Amino acid sequence: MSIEMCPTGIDELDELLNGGFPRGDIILVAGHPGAGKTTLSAKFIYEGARRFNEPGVYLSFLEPKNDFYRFMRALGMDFEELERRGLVYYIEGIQTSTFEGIEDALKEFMDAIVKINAKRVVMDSATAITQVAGFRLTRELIKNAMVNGLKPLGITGILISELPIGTPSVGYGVEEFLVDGVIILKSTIENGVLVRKMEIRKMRGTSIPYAELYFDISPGVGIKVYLPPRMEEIPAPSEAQVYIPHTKEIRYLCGGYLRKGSQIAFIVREPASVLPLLIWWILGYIARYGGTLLIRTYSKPPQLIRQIVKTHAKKFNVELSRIIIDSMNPTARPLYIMSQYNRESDTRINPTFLVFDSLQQVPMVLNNNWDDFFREHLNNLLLRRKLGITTFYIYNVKSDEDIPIPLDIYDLVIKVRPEWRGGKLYLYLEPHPMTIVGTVKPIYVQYKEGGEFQIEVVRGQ
Amino acid sequence: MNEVSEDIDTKIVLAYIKYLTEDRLRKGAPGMLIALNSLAMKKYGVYVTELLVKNPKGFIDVLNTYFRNQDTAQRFVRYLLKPLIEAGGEDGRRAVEALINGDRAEFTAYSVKVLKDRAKKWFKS
Repeated sequence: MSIEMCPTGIDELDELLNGGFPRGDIILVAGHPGAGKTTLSAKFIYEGARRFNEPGVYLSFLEPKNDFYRFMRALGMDFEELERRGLVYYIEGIQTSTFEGIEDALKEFMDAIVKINAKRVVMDSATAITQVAGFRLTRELIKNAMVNGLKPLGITGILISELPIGTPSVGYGVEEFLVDGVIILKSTIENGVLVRKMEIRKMRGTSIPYAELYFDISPGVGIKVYLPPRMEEIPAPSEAQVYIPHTKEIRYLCGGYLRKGSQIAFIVREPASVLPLLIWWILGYIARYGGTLLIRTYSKPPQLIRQIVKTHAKKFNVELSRIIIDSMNPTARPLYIMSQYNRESDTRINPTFLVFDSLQQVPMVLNNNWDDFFREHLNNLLLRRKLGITTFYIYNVKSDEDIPIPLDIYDLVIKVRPEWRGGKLYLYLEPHPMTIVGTVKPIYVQYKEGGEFQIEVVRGQ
Repeated sequence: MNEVSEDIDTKIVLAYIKYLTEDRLRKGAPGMLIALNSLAMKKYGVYVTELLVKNPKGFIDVLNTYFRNQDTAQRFVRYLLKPLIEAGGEDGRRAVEALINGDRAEFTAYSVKVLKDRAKKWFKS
């Protein structure tokens, strides 16, 4: 029997939870002060009323109604308007030192539920009740009034609980066992940037492919969850569409041809540079097969890239409108936001070819955190395979050592190093096939005046 | 709901039962009275203890809805009205079973028989 879901109104979270919270369930949202508990819960009530026409009641022992409405308006949620339409009811629980005040607020809460025929509720917070009633009484109250009391009415609810900073357990540790789902919100400072994480610890009746998600709170949007692409199986490059390079030397480098959706890494020892060669290589494809190229660089100004592009586009008679340049400062945003931006941009633009220039900058600005980088990178790489975007990643390194990530995620790895031959600087490109089966040979490349190249295949290897 | 003219003893006993159940709910199951009241109000337009004395069938229906299990609901009625059973023995038990079966007349008759004196004492106090 399928479980009816209650959409949270946060699209990415609903996608992850197969439609939302199971209807009639009580979900505990716990977190540090300022982690986003109120915003997430407010969004649940607000979107429920606005998008799904489901009235909601919000009971808060912590925040006066005026403050709550003002903060939420700044985040793009106009509660006043929904209240006028009878879709939202906010109860400002009076903070007393006696249990009577809590009981009165709970009574008003239940009366409001009946009055507006609420389908979703929020109680903010179990911690505030515990401070007055003690944890045993609070546990009984939550179980009897909220968990058992709301279920027969088919109401889906959020119970908020404070998670003191540095404390691993939620509240007094009892709320977790009473509810059907537990979401923990955390906020930390990483490399000077506020990073918000959401942990889905428990969600009865729902399989959760990702238990930890990044999210953000921003004006006008409220809460946005960054959901990695969901792929159980690793997509393969296309069998039907292949790209044959326009010169025999490059054909040797890549084993004859590249399949659409292939993922190729260049590990380039400084001061060598492969970007001009790569642009020339790809424009040769575009001249022959059509399509578009997106160049995303983490180190170079767009003007510089445009200059290289112009030189080669003219040679191949490729319109400049087919090439998009995206220059980004890798320190500007947290990794998860940058990663989401790339996913959205790749999906929207859906270029035929994509070049990532100076990709090593991303883990470097994360204090050399290659593990987090790899997780995001792998997910995005799989998405590009699925979208059929043939992608070239350039990592610039200072020595011959490999970059500290598994290289078998790529179809082809080309190691590049500078080499002096007869007083001239050459690039030595050494291919390492991972999935391709054709014969490969290393090549030497010398950059000439006017954007020309002299290329020779290294024989006998 | 059957509105019948009731004598003064019956009225006092039913008021005593309302007080007793409210008190036991408040002390024994904090929060439950609030939840049951909202269920009773939503479905029958009256508070749950009012429902108990006026419409036992409705009362049992509310408990069944709350517990989502008839056995648990019935065990809870027996717990809630334990003072009636303790005070009246077999008659008290009959009153409770009549309530569970939705028989208001029998429930009222046995309750008055068992609790009349105690209820009057409570009323005077």
